[in-house]
Amino acid sequence: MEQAAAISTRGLTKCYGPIVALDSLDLDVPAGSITGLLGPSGSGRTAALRLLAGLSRPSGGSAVVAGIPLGDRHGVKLRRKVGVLPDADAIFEWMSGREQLSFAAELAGIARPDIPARVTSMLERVGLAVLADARTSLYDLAERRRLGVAQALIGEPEVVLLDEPVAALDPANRAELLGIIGELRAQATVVLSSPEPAHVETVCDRVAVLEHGRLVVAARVDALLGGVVGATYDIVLDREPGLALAGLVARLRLESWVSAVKIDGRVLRVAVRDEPRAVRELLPSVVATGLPIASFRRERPTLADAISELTGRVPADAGTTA
Amino acid sequence: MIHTFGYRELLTKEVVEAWRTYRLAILCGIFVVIGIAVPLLVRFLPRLLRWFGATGELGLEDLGVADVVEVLVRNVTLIGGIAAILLTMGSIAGERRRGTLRLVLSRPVSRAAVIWAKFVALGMAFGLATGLAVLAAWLYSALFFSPQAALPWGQLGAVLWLFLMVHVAVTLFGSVVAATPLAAGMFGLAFVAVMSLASNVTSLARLLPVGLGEVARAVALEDVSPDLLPGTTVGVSLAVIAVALGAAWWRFRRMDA
Repeated sequence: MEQAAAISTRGLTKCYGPIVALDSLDLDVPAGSITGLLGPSGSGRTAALRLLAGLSRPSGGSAVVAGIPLGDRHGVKLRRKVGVLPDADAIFEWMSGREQLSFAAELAGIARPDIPARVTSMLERVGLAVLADARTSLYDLAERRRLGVAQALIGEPEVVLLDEPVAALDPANRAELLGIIGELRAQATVVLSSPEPAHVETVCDRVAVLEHGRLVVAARVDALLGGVVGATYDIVLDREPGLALAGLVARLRLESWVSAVKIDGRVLRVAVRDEPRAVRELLPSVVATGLPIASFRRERPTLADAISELTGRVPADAGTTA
Repeated sequence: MIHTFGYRELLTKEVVEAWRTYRLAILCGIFVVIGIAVPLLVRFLPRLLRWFGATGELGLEDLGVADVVEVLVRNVTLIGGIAAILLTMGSIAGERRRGTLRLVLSRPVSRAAVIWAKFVALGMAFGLATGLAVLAAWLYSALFFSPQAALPWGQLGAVLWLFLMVHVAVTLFGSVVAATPLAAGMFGLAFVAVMSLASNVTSLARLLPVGLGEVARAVALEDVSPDLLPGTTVGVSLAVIAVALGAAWWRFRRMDA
């Protein structure tokens, strides 16, 4: 059963002069979920997060975040319940990591006697314990990003908004930070923005795809992966295929359970829409042609495939994912 | 109603930042140098000029405390005014460019607290610097000329501080509305230019903040002429500060972070 929405927007719009950054966003984010806000640069992800964080004023529409409606009168109340990692790698370079977190904790209203223990525990959680007392000007990009996530979480907010938390990080740091974000599941409602479907797929329960400020798709990630695109089978042949393969491809294309067939060198790639039939019929069909098979592998569909299928477009940065 | 949630924490951050980034030390150092150099210069100027080869009647033999005050006021208003613009111009615009303003505003703080904490921290820095300059000048004037009453010199310091705070408040407003620290600095300089032009009209100058220099000199020397309107000049300066801060807050609270 779906939980109550921690974030609910209706017609939320943000314009910068004549430019519509976010166009009538209707979105419900269930409490305790991790939702990925996916889209290319300029799709309205940052505009949406800034509105939800109370950092900017909507040009139209409304939103309720953690039970607090957006608006000037509720700004401080709202920000007590929301933790934010802004898009810039902003940091007070004259502070140490510990000081920066202590400052964030003080502003979050945590009782002073509790702050040192809370800060130490948070520094350990994000893997910055060793660098805790070093000036943040010495931190590299990954360490800055970890500190940014830590300062967003220090007040134990109900809603956490993270703008591109793993952008430009190396795979190891990215995986570790996504792991930390994943641990927030059920403790807080998390919305993270990213241009890369693989990041969203790794950690998110739900995804909302924005393009040109408009919401294109909003759904559960598993529903998208299971329901929108079927599996793909890669059959690697032992030698260059001949006419037998051409005949096989022609036959497969006529099958109702096959959605697409591609040949890439010695690899035959078959996308299927009816998995049980594919399991029963695909391998026997190939074997029957007498083609020598080096390997037969089922490829899991990716979120990028699903979004591409739904929108008819490949997500802008899908190809950049490591 | 204006809320100031987070004011204490933000003020602490501003003061520590001024200390850690050496801004406070450099500002105080400059002002102390002014405070020491002015009486020294006034005392030893004739000797210095002769040492550099000047001969004959210099007309500088009877320089005294009045000259110390005159030069001190001129230096503090000029150098201090520039320092006020330089230290204030990046306070909002600079943090906005670096992204740290968004970091602060994403916490449960009121925007009035952000503005007020910055103004008070700058006020403390310039209060300390001006106090040190006046104290140094007072001590060295007593050493080189004659002991001076403390209260008039205290009033001198207070009026000079008010003069600098007018520049701080106006530049702070500039820092809110301008996109870059440089543009904010230009805003502060434009204010100085307008004040300089207004000072050419004597009847206007004695009312505006630019007249505070003359008020400072007069109170230090306990020589307030009937032409001066110290209360009015101070009142107008306070009003300029109030309007600048009010406008800064009004604009800032409507601004996207």
